[in-house]
Amino acid sequence: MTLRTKPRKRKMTRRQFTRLLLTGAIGGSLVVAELASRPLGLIKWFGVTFKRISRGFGNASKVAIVSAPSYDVDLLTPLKTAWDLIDAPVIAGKKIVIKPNIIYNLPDRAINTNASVIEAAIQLLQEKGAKEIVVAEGTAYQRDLTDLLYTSGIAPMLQLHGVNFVDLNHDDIVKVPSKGGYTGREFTWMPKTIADADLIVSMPKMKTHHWAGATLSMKNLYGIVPGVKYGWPKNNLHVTGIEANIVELYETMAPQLAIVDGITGMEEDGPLFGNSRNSQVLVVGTDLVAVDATCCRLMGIEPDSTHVKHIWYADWLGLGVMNTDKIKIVGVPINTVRQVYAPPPNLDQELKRY
Amino acid sequence: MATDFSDVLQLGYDYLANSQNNDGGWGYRRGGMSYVEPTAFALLALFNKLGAGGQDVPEKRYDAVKKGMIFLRTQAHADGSWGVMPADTGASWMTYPVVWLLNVLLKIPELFSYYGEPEDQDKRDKAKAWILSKGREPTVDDTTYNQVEKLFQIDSNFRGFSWGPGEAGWVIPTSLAVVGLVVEDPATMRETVEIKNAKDYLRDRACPEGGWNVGNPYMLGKKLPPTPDATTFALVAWRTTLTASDFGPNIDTVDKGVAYLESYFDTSNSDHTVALCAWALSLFKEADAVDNYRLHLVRGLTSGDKIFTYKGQQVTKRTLAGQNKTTGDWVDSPFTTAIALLALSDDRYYLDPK
Repeated sequence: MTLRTKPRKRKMTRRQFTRLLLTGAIGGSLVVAELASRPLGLIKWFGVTFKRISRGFGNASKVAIVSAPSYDVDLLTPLKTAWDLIDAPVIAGKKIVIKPNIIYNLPDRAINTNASVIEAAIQLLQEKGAKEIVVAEGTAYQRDLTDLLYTSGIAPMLQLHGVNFVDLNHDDIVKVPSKGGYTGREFTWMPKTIADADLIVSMPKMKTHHWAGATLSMKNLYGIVPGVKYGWPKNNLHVTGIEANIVELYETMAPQLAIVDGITGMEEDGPLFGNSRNSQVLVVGTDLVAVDATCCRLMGIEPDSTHVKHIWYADWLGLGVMNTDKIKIVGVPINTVRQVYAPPPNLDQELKRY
Repeated sequence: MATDFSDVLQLGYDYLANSQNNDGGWGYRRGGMSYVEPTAFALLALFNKLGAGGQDVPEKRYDAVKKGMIFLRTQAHADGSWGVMPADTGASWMTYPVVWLLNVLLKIPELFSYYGEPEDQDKRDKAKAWILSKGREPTVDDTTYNQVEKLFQIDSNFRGFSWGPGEAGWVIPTSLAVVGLVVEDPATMRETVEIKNAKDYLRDRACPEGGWNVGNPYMLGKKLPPTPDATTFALVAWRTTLTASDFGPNIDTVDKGVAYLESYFDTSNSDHTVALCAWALSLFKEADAVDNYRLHLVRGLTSGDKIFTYKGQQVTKRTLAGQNKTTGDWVDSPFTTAIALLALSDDRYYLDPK
């Protein structure tokens, strides 16, 4: 007779148990981290972290501030000065799109990028050998902006220089993969004029903004997406996460230059109903995050996650730099031209006020 | 005596036939990508003439309409919607003008006998169902309602129609949807909850001084002025829906909108805007006034070019070109030309097909 013994239960050693526990904890943490970092995702998060660390070893971003007392004086000379101070991109032989900020015509409100600043940019880019220049806008509040181009003086100025205007809202459109993945949108419809451009110049007005804190060279990119697809006033880009949309458009479109009209800016209830402030500057740079952060400081606004979240977000994602120790201001010292703008309305307070 | 515009109209219809793209669609500009909206408007303009008796239609025009209808049919999505152009697989607001067009086609037997297909009825029914279920803006919760009411002074209980599914309602898509739905059977459709609610929406979104903008009469307590494009589409929608029960606030709102467009008309430098204004005003004003608007639209600037002064330099700018007397177009745009032709025609088959 054979004695059958029960198979012995293998007992887990303490070491095995600890190993299992650790593996589980690491695996669980990765799952939690992946979920928590969505829509960015863990891989992208590692990429961003690496980019931010490596940026610490890179050169500071140059931002030029130059004085320009009014729109009635020569603006080409200060713009050239700024150009020579930054690490300017190569212009010769390129198809360039200038994207100003043209929104509305309200009496006594400095809303739109001034025609004189756009004119100076056209002259500069022509001097630098641009192959083709167009001025383009897809305004948010109306479908036909022809009258706005006349009342703002832009249409006659463009005629003087033989430069064409493109209405981005009704341009041919193409599907472009969205970079970043911050909005969950796989692709963005883009005007063909933008998709075919070699270089995009964002030319905003220096203004506060009641939803975004400030509207500068990155927020200005909202005017690029076509109204035929995203409607007027492109509201879905506001309600689906204003910061995520701004940085995603910035990363997807990759504009290479910003020229900010800060001669007359707008404080308080921007982008439409604020009051004028004469900052008398032009701000120029190739790192749009650094340019926008500098403009915020010129307006006395700290570009942090509380006040102007999209700038902070773009910095955090490694798309540019916002900290003063990583920005080299060239030209006029910022302290000599800084003015404290009245801040935009706080929405929580607005809701309580009514 | 009213001016005879029949030659002008014939020239314009020929332009539409000549500016059609090879794929059967029309663009916002000649040679531009085919979009659904300008295609629907070009066909509406051609239908309007054909509705008056289509026996002696030139072959080129007949072929153009046939091809245009094929273009639209092939762009229809399975869910009943249309995108904005062929590559757009998403649902969009351009479904509204297509339903409008299909309703006109289906209601005029002679037109249908030439250009209709058995599938058109089914396509219209599916599109109508899509508009009523997905085109209308969603209801909002109490918190959102209160916030929107406080920030914009609008009543979110009034639901308009949106640019894209799931989005907020805006004035232009609401107007297009209303017209598109109502022309099917005005007596019945005007009494539906959706159309009554949309009329309430349009009244609520009117600017206090008259007219409409995108849909925000107020922004944080400040009045946002009207624009001619939104005002035009809103007035066309009112024209199809007004009944005796509208005497009171609704009629007052319409009158103020008409007054705004009248005041804007002479100031505009845009052929497109003049066409829009003339179209809307032709539906509300007495014959003599309409004749003047139409003459202005056809002739453009007859007393020479406008002179603008830019930085002390005089710039001669042809702002209102009027109809091109050789090719029959307005600013070489099939979309603008289609609207101009609707404005110039005394036929109203596009609004009251029978």
